[in-house]
Parts: sequence; structure tokens; C-alpha cells
Amino acid sequence: MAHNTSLGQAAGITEAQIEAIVSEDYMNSPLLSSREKAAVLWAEHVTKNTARDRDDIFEIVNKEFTETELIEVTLMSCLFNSWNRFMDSLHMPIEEQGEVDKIQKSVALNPDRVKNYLQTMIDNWPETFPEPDGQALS
Amino acid sequence: MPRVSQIGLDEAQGETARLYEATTQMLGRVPHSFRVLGQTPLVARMLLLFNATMQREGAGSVLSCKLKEMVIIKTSQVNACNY
Repeated sequence: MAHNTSLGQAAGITEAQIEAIVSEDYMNSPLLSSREKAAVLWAEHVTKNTARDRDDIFEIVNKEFTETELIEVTLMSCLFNSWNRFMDSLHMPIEEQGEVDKIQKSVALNPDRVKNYLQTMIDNWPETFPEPDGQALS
Repeated sequence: MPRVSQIGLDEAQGETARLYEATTQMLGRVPHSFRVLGQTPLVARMLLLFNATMQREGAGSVLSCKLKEMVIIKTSQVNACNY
């Protein structure tokens, strides 16, 4: 989790909170708010795919979030399940600490950067796109 | 051993170079994941926008980065993913 905890710490998560989150007993931790516990609880059950059948867990989590927030919490866990699978399956090497430290420490993403990239995309729109299955090994 | 190769910052051209530039702008650097995804830049550019919007705050997501990072920490731990 080297890569991920770096931004987390920039976002204000303490070492002690990280330890609490990864422990079995996080629901009883005085270091996490009830909303944070609910997010961690949901992440655990989404990842184990037990969220699907555990109405009791959903009830706990649902009390803490609006529907929009719940959708984002779920999507966030799903997105990193995807990244975890990608990294593990392709044996991605862990990055050197110096490289990890370069992570953009700002927790905010300036929407202008998104807009600029979209504009760059439009300005450089490809004339052709890859042919599906066109790279088959010969 | 890595199973796929990465496109280095010096080798990147065209769409991949633009991807790396945007990745640096948004994430501060080009992580290994995006150096691999640089092989399919027309897909990676969409993923970058989605990923950066999701993981950070202020560009559309309604949750704080802090809360979302907690979700990521638990998810990665349950998956025993060291990355």
C-alpha cells in the first residue's frame, strides 16, 4: 500500500489511523469517526463481495452517507479492487520511495487541469483509431 | 519480475507523451501503472481523468480525499496488495 498511503497522509490520515484501519478491530477504534468506520466497513465488504448479501452491514453504512456518497464510496472501492488486480496480475514492481514522494500532495484536483487535458485531446484528435484485434501476434 | 514492459518518460511520443504530461500535471508524476498503460494511450487517457477525479477532490467528486483514501487503504489491505 506504499503508493496509496502517501496521498492518504497528505490528506491528513495519521499513522495511527492507518494502523486502526488495517486492524480487525477498526469498528471500535477511537481514532476513526463513525462515518470513517462506515466507509472502511463498506470497503471491506465490497472487496470480499459480501456487501451483496449483508443487509445488516448495508444498514450501518447507509445511515452515515447520502445516496450520492454511498455510490462514490462503493465506486472507490471497486476502482481500487481493479487497480489491485491489475498490479498483482502483471507483477508491477513497487516504486522507489523517492518516486512515491513525488505524488502530487495536493488532495484537490484543479478542474482546469482536467479541462486543459480534454482541450489537448480535442486539439490532437487522432485521424485513425486502432483496429480491434489488429495487433494479433504473427 | 514484471510481466509487461513500461514505456519510459524519455521514449514516450505522441499520444503517450501527452498522457505522461497530463499524468504529471494531475498526479505529480507518472507511476508505473501509467507507464504500462502508456502502451494503450487512447484508453489510458480516459482512465487518467476518471482515476484522478475519483481519487482527489474538487473536480466533481462529492467525497473528501481523506475518506476515499481510507477506503483505498482497507481495500488494498483486504486484497493483500502491496502496491
